[in-house]
Amino acid sequence: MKFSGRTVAFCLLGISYLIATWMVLRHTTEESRSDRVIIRISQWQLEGGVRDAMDAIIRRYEELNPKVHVVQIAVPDSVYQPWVQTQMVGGLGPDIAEYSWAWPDLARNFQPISAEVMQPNPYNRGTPLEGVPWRDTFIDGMTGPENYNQALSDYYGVSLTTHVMRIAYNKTLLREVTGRDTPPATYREMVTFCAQVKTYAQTHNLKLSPLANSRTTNINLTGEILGALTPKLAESIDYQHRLKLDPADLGISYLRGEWSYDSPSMVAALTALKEYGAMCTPGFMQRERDSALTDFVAGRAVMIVTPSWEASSLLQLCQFPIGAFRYPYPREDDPVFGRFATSPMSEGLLLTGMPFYLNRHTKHRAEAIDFLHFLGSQEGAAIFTRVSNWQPVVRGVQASDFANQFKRQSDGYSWYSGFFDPSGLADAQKFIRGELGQLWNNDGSVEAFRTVLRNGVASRVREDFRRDSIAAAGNSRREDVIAAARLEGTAGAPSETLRLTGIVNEIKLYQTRAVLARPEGGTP
Amino acid sequence: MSPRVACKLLLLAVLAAGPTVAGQITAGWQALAAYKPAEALKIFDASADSAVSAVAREARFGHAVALLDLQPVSSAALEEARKICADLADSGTDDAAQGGRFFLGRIAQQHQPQPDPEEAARQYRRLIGDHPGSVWAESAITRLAVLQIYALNQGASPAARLAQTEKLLSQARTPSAQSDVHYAIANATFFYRLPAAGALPHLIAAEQLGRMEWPTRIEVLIQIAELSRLAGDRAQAVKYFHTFLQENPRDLRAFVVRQRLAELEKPGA
Repeated sequence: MKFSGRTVAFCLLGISYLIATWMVLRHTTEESRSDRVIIRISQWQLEGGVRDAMDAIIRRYEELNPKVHVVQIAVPDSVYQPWVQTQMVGGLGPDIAEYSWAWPDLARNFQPISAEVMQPNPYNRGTPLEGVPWRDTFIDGMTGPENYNQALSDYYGVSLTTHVMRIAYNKTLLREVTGRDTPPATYREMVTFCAQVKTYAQTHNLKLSPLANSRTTNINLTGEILGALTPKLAESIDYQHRLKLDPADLGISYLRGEWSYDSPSMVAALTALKEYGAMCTPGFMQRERDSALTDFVAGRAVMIVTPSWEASSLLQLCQFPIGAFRYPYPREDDPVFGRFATSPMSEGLLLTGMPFYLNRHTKHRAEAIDFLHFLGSQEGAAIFTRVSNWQPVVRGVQASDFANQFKRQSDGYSWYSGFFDPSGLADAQKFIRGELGQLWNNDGSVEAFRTVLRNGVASRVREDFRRDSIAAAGNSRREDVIAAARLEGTAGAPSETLRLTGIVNEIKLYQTRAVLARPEGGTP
Repeated sequence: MSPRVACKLLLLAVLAAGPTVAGQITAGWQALAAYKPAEALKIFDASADSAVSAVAREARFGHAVALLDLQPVSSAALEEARKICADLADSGTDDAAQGGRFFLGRIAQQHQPQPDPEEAARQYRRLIGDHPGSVWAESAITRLAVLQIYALNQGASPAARLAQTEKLLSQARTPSAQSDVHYAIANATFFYRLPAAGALPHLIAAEQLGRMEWPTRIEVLIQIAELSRLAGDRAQAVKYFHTFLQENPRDLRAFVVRQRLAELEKPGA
């Protein structure tokens, strides 16, 4: 029997229609089941194990709460933000959404959970965290900007994990090249080991690099290398005596000429960065993280710069045993950089990530909060780390054995490692990172890079501040209205003052304007 | 009883005869708080012609405030809001009048395309003088402090502007307003690179008033401890470093703070 092309096309169309109808009916039927509330949660972590971990958490939650059905929606990161925003605009947003930084209109789309985080998490009953306010059950006390929004003075996010950068290594290749089982422990050992790998590759005519890296994965480690050799510089510009800096401090101080990329410790840090670039796969700044991953998995690199969120994928992809270690920064005994180092060096601010926010317009607030409680409980966190091999963030929950190699080393000095992000905003950072070729290319040098920075950073910082001050003023105006509405629309004890944008935010706005009003290098 | 509470009680008493209207006005504010200015505007407009003056005035105030958040905010809308606020402020002493005066200040300070700090300060000073201690006046004090430090009298030195701002403390009646003014002065001391010791009494005062949000409090505890250490006040430094550690054991600076404490508490230190 022969079918014409038109018949086949109609058949395919008919089958597609039937499948679509079945899916819609199934969805509608599920929605209309009177005995189950459906909670939809969206996230964009498609790395190995994470979706499985979410599914495992959901299974356990539904065992405990048979009247609630939780649906996980995993969306690729490249389309996640527009997807959520479109859904929100259409009134179809998930009840709970993983937050992706720098979303506009946060307050319009999501609702605060400040009242809930001050109360104990019911799913921590029977654990050492019973009776402890939910906020204090997290290893960072929910102090991160994705948990507590300072501009809005409210808690919004419940985090699921935290991450650090590590050097993962191929244990088989390490032994083959060096005859030893332990990775380099000091900066000089690292330099020597990388030279050994290069010699080994030449001798055996192999395409083998010491360290696989990429345009994106170099970023965090780059910041930490800078931070390792600049604590004294950072301390010298801590004019607020807070024992730390933030991007605004750094940017204002830079525009006032209080530090530069020509400062001696900065020159040393850039030199160490140049050496780090020489350890990496040639041309790594033109490569994406997938290419670096391929090099490592295929045995073309002994080590790889990897964030801990990638490690669970490595475990699934690699046919060889893997270890991980922290990049060995130069310390005080280093013959070249020692005088700039202050150790031990912390791995920086403990910030938790993968935060989940509550849709402002959810029809099932109570059930969504209840699921968030489970997600952020000891039991939920234990399931998460066991299945995903990612770091847990609830106090008292042990990371899996593999995840333990990626445990953050928080104790130590840490002023600020954002010298390549001297405004905390987009333009300056993008400019500096875009010019790293001047440092890392074959004909690049520390001097060439410094020259480019000297001529280009200030104008970018100013532009960042200018845009930030416009956004801050907009936020301030919006909060004026909300503050008045809250005052007038709420019964209860009289307030002492309106809950306007916080005085800290208002001050920052005026300080930024003051800096912008003066010529470069001038003191306001 | 504060003037604002008295006004509210009066309004509630009037509205007791018409609970639907009272509910409507409240619903308008709630819509505004939920980022729905268009909805709020409709609700306020429905009560704008109420025979009860207090209701009509609150509805007009709500209308003006909603206009400030109805996107895009045109210059015509801004002017309409300003006019309503001016009418309300000049025709009474009730909550709507005080709110209107406060928003005249905010419109000049933050809402209009070209900020007018002098006009904002004029409105705030009048509000503070006419209604001392009201929630609107107390809020105005905190915003006036920032204006005096950063936007007004630019010919004077930063130190002179801070000295001028200190005078506002005597006008602030509530701990919240006092705390904000103290904090603003301390923060400006650092910003203008004035001798840091000058910030210490203001930071201590702000901390003792107990009204700071916790992210600010964390920083202030460290600042008091560090400045006390630098000033040689060992006991005070130790006290505040310990408070910091107790309240923020997981803060990244705990390592450095423990080192500072070990140094300060060393026998013979």
